[in-house]
Amino acid sequence: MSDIYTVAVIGAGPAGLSAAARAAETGLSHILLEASPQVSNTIFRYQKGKHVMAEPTVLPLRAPLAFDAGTREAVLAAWDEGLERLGVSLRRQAEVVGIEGGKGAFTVRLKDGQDIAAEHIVLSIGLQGNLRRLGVPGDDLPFVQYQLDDPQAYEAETIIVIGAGDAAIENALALAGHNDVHIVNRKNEFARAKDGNRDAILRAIERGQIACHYSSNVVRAESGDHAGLLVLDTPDGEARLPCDRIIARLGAIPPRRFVESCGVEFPNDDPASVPAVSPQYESNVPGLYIIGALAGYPLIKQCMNQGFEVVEFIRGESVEPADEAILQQKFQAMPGFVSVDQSLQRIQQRIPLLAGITPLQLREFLLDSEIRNPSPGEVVFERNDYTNSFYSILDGSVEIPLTEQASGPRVNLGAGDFFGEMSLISGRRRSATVVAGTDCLLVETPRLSMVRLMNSVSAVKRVIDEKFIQRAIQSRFAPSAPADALQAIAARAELKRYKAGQDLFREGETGDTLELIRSGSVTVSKDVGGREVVLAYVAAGNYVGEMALLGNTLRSATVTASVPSETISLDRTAFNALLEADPGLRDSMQQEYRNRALSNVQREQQSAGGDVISFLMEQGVGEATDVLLIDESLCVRCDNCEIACAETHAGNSRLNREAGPTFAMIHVPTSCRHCEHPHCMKDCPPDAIRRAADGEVYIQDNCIGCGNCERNCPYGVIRMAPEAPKKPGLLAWLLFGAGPGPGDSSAAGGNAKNGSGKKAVKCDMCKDLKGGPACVRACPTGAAIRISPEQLPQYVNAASRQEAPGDA
Amino acid sequence: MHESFLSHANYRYLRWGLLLSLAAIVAYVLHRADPVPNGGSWLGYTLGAVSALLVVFLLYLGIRKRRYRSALGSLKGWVSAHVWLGLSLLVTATLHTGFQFAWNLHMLAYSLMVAVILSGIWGLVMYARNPALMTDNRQAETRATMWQQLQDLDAEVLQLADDAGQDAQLHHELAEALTPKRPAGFWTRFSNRRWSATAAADYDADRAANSYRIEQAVAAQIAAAGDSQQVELLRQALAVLARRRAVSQQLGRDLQLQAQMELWLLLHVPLSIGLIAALISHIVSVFFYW
Repeated sequence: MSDIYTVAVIGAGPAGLSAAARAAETGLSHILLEASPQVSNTIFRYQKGKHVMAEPTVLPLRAPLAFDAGTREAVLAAWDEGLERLGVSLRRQAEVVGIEGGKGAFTVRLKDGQDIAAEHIVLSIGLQGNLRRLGVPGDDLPFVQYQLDDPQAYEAETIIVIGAGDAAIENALALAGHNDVHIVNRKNEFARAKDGNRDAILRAIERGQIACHYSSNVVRAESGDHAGLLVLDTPDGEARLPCDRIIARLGAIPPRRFVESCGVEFPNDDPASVPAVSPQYESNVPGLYIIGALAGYPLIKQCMNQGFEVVEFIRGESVEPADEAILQQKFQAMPGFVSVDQSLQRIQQRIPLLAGITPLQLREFLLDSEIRNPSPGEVVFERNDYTNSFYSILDGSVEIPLTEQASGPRVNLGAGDFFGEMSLISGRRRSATVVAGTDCLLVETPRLSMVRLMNSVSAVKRVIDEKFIQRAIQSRFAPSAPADALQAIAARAELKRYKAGQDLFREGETGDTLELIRSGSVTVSKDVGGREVVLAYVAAGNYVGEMALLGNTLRSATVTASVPSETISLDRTAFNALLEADPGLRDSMQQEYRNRALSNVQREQQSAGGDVISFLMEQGVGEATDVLLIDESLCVRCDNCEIACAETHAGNSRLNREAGPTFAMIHVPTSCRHCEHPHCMKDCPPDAIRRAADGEVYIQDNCIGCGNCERNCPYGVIRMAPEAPKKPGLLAWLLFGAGPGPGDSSAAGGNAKNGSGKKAVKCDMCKDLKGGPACVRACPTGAAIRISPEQLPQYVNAASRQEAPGDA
Repeated sequence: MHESFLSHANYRYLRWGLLLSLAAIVAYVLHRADPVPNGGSWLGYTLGAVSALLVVFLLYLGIRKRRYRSALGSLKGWVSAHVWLGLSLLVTATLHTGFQFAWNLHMLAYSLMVAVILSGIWGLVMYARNPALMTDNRQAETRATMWQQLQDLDAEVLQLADDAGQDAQLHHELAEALTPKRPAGFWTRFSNRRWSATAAADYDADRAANSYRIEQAVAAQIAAAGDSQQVELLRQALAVLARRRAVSQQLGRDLQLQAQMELWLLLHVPLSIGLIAALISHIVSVFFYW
């Protein structure tokens, strides 16, 4: 090892391949190290023929390797060809176990004991290569594996599957037909798995097709007289299981320990957090660069661009970032535009919220954002809109009318301030209309980018939270109080977080706080004759526990979060300050309390209504903004709703009428509820899931078909479906039998072959149809309706009135 | 919140239908017919024209129902109008006849119309009665889960039959409980007199009865058996067979209720097509042979 390479690239995924290819192209001495036997291992393991997408389409590709959307085979072949043509020096099965030294003299230690010397390191190991291992003696024996590519490859073996997630269950079931399969579960149930998988594995265990070892921990694996032996710690003592093969499916984690051992720091303890890097992708260790998914960029094209750029930086070249042209186009809307850098600087100077973020974060933030230049008097958004983007004021001002009248009082927000955080956080409709003032220049940022920024920069989150609390208190309790009087009150307020099912407080407790619900929703219940009766449902934007502050500190009811919720907790001191700021407040609160107490007493008489609320909350209606409900006493099971959905959505119905539970004739079908904080939006690499102004959560065409949303949706309403071919006209179908007819699934015909790839489909509430949701409009009997949480109390009242006589 | 198509828009179409019927009756009573009330008077033509237009409107539901993108009212509103105005057609068309009935083409059109309306009323009764019955019968199951249960129970029966290897008699009987003899006909399914099933493809009318007979045979064996292991096996078999019969009855009832909600349409729609043909013949012949 006399050679010292200029650059050692670790990890041959898209980012690493591109970096090594650029190094080869420019004649830089380099080596590409890959732990697995083939390059691009993650894509290599995709199923055959899988369509690989090339998002974001606006971004130009600037790598020496070709990359276009296409089949897995085509993508891999293009890369192999590129590596060969450029003469990339690649070492496979070279797992790196440590990096030592510093810039100019790094030593990369390989697992086989070899050392490699390099001046610069490019770390592009991604997240996928890091499968969680058993972490017990013998977890690297040849018969222990952490993946299963083809279940048909094994026959008549004794196989032990370890894990209780979907991957483990699916593997166990796939192997069970022709092997003797055991499954080892650390817990006593399969709580993490999808319902379908759980039912299937329980059935298989019950029938004796799979042997399950519950509450069992793996002690060690060892070579036995069979191929292997697994030692388990079970509730009945130690168990020794002879086996041919052990398949452990324990998930993947960011390889944090390894990265930290190289001296790289992480910003926080969040297991999902990624290290911060400079605009040149350099980490806090000089000479050590991090690109790709490990730096927080999951898309293939981004990764490849970074691979190119990082080599340019190492070569001492300055590279115009790939997004330069796009940013320039965006910034040209700004009056007095000179250059992108100057505009970036100006934005960071003008908007204090963005002052603390890194240049790379700022670029990314602005790449997702739009510069808006509304004319004076133009409405930015309307009260009750469902939009949830976030606005920063770059120049000029905006006005927020406090009342409906145009001439009423208005609040003025100036340059550097921001707005739109209420809907961003609560997931609810806009709480006020915002009108542009003169010379107004705004930066509009989509929800996902803002959430990403808030999660990675705690200062941004803190500032937004503080402002949120202040504005929430103002709009709910003291609309006319001056902002600085509220600041002190807001500073005393506490932000509290509750899990679904967790109590905010219980009946009979003493307490002296009022809880303003800022996101999620809660139910109010009371003990009536030894039975917990749900009396009311309270949505975000309202408060509970106000009596504690009006004099009665004994809680009169139990309040429970129906979905993960956050509250702003106000104590007596803060509240007294509020009362001082607005003397009318006490009266209005007492009035509201009287109304509530009256309706609660009424509700206690007809306890059935509470059961209906409980049922609906269990179905997740508490976080819905619009949910489809079917009255089964009216539903004639004609499935016209599904047919209408399929007919208006390229042949794929996004709703399953029959599936889903029923209570008191109210049926909650499997159909999107358009959650306040859509679970599906959480992890969408191309940010294709959006929320429209009327609240519809929909998927844009730039979906890459990764399936994250399908997995994240707790209600199972997203499906991966191939794009359907066009249907024939009614007559052509009727007379000539051309293609699928009305209501038939058109998905069946020929899509698997053309390889166009599956994309996620879900309900879009027919946002592009004039008449509204087709499912409801096509219901012949009036059984199907869609309701919003605001209508829910009324709905429950109506439902419980119907149900009460039968129940009594 | 959920509002039935019958009470749509505060019974708007019921009110329209009543108004139309009432107007027709009043006009009929006040009308001086010469020599007797008939379809050829000005009122007769008016009522005939109104009725014919109503028929066209009622038939249009079949098209509107498939216009899934149409924003022209809701389908529920259309169905509401279809029902109430369709019922009032009985009044206007009957008055149009002037109660002159004979064995001719005109009578054919009228009879078909009455048959269509009666089948519609039958449908209404089914729509009012069956949905709640269906939910009650289903408990928390869907049709798919009921099929799945049946298949699971079948597998259990087979397993028990295998376990009972030595007992040839029991093995035979359990296996027989699953052997389809002949597929059930439409009427059997519809009436649910003797109905049972294992999979969507093989309905078997005799199986529920068969199952019951075998249950009795197994019960008799339990009484006679001496070996405790044998008794346990027989008990299990009995429990599974009984559960299987319950599920198959539940599924049968589900299919029956659904069939009842669909069967009337098999009369209503073809009869409507017949009606439109007869109606055209009626109109053409009336004008042709004026």
